[in-house]
Amino acid sequence: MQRARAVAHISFWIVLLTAFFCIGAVKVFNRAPEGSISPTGDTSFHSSDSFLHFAAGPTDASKRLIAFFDLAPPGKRILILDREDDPASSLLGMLTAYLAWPHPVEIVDLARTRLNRGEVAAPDLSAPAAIVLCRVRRPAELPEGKHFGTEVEVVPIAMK
Amino acid sequence: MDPIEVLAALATILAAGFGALTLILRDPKCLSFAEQLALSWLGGTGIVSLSIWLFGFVLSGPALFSVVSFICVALPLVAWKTKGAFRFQELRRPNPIELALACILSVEILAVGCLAFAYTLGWDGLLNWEIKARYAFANGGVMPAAYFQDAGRAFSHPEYPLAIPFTELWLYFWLGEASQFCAKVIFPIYYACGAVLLVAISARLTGKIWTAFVAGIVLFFVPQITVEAGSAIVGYADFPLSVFYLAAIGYPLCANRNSDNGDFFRIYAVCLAFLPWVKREGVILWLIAAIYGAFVIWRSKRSPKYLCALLPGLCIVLAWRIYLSQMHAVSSSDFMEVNLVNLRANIHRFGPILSGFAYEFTDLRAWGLFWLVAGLAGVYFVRRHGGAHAIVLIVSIVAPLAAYASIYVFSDWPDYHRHAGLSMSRLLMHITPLACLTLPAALASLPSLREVFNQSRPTSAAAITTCEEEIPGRTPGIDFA
Repeated sequence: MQRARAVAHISFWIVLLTAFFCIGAVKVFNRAPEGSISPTGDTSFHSSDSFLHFAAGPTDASKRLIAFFDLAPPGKRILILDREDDPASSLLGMLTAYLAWPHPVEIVDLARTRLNRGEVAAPDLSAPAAIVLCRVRRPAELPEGKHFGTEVEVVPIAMK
Repeated sequence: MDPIEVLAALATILAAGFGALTLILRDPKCLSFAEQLALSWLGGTGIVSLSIWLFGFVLSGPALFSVVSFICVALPLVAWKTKGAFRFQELRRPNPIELALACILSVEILAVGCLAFAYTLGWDGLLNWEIKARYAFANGGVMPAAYFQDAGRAFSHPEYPLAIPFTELWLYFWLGEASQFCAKVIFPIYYACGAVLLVAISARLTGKIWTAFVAGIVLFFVPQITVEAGSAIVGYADFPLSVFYLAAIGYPLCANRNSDNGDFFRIYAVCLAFLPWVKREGVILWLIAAIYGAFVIWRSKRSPKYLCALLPGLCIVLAWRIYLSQMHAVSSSDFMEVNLVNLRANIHRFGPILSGFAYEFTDLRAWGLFWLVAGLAGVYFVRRHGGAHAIVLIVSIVAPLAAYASIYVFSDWPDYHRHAGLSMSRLLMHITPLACLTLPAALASLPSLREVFNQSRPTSAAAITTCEEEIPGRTPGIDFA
């Protein structure tokens, strides 16, 4: 009786751990190749380039965006228009803000589903150096800007 | 990526941690070489990031880099001068099963390294953590004041602490450029440290090394740890935080069992101090671990001066709060003010949040059967270790969950379900390595096949073997270098 209980005890844990390892292995090995993105070219912007490529289409866009923002006068803000109800648009907005350093940025959420983070500060009514449109349609009153892929457009307002 | 420069950056971090560890421990031989390396990494990243931040108040650029490099080199030299030749635990010959399990664990660590370089940084990895390293690097190693005040970049949580970004910054200093690709190198190292410490602590608790290796191996098969969003490979702070928490809770558990001249308590103090420096949620973990430390001091009738171990973490929390207020840092509007009015208005959220956590535990896609196994093994842990040890481990696992669930009652998102849902899996990661500690207790309680088929040996005595009984008077060796 004692031996049977011991065998059952061991068997239970063998079955449980086998199930754990099998389920875990299937999930891990199926999932592992999905997020894999081989580094190409300049790896300094491996992640932001991949995100921009995924969300907007262009390749090696990080350095080109930085070079474009460098044309803005120092200290002049960059206005970013996105929609927080669209994850790709929101991601592009934050990526643009990331790359626009050292310029101050203001992100305006056109979907207004959440408190606009730009409104945390006092409203800045001065003209921005550039307006970045992240998967949002350009207002008719704005001239056409420089395209970075199909989904990011930068309209220079007060660039050098 | 220049491997020499990356290696130099990693070596200096390890040197700083190793020197500090040797200085604070009375008998470093109580730790195996692998364990010393793992703890050196944890301590080293804390020392380097904290030094960059503190010396950044008066220095920047090459001067800042030189001073921190000097500290990294000076610490092991001072340790060598004051403590003599470095000593490591003697290795005993591993048996074939232990050797095979050690090989599997090594392959898993290599696989995590490969995955880290194949994946990009995650959303938070790039936009919460690497962003700080990049901006600081562009500003000579000092966080620019403008960043803290830039409401447009509040999404990147300027108020988050700097252990992870400044460890990445240290790599950038050595490389001479900011590189999102190279920044990822630190995360598999945290994974390796977590696995090694899990094995080491488990082996001390059960006295059976093969069960400890199984606990280390299990970690890889939890998808949320290895491949899911927020996992150990995508540059988030959650897994590193969980490793600090594992060490902070795990070593005092061992300290209670073995007479160790207070060395394990010193390791606890170091890991405790850096908890709030890794991530904001670290403050909650710090509080829980600090209460636990006070409990250990009271229970083991140590001198009240041991309570000083809680001070470094408290100083870091306060210093960071003062720094943020002086910088007029904007904070994201994720949470409303914590007060009774808001609590009363939103208390109804508690049920749905708890059910959200319950759903997360059963999410096979992220966790597989991990929580089922850990839950069952927890019963064995209670039976095997009983009393205070079981209470401590269970409270250390449950208390952070209760705190996290309470926090989302104050979520300022219109859809608090979404807010909580986005972070739950990552919050559970904080306690995952700790929950793995239960598994060796279950495995060690199993009767061996020899005992089952050979009635001449009693099963009950072996089933409750503890490390004290196997190797009286000393901690069992963790022999996997």
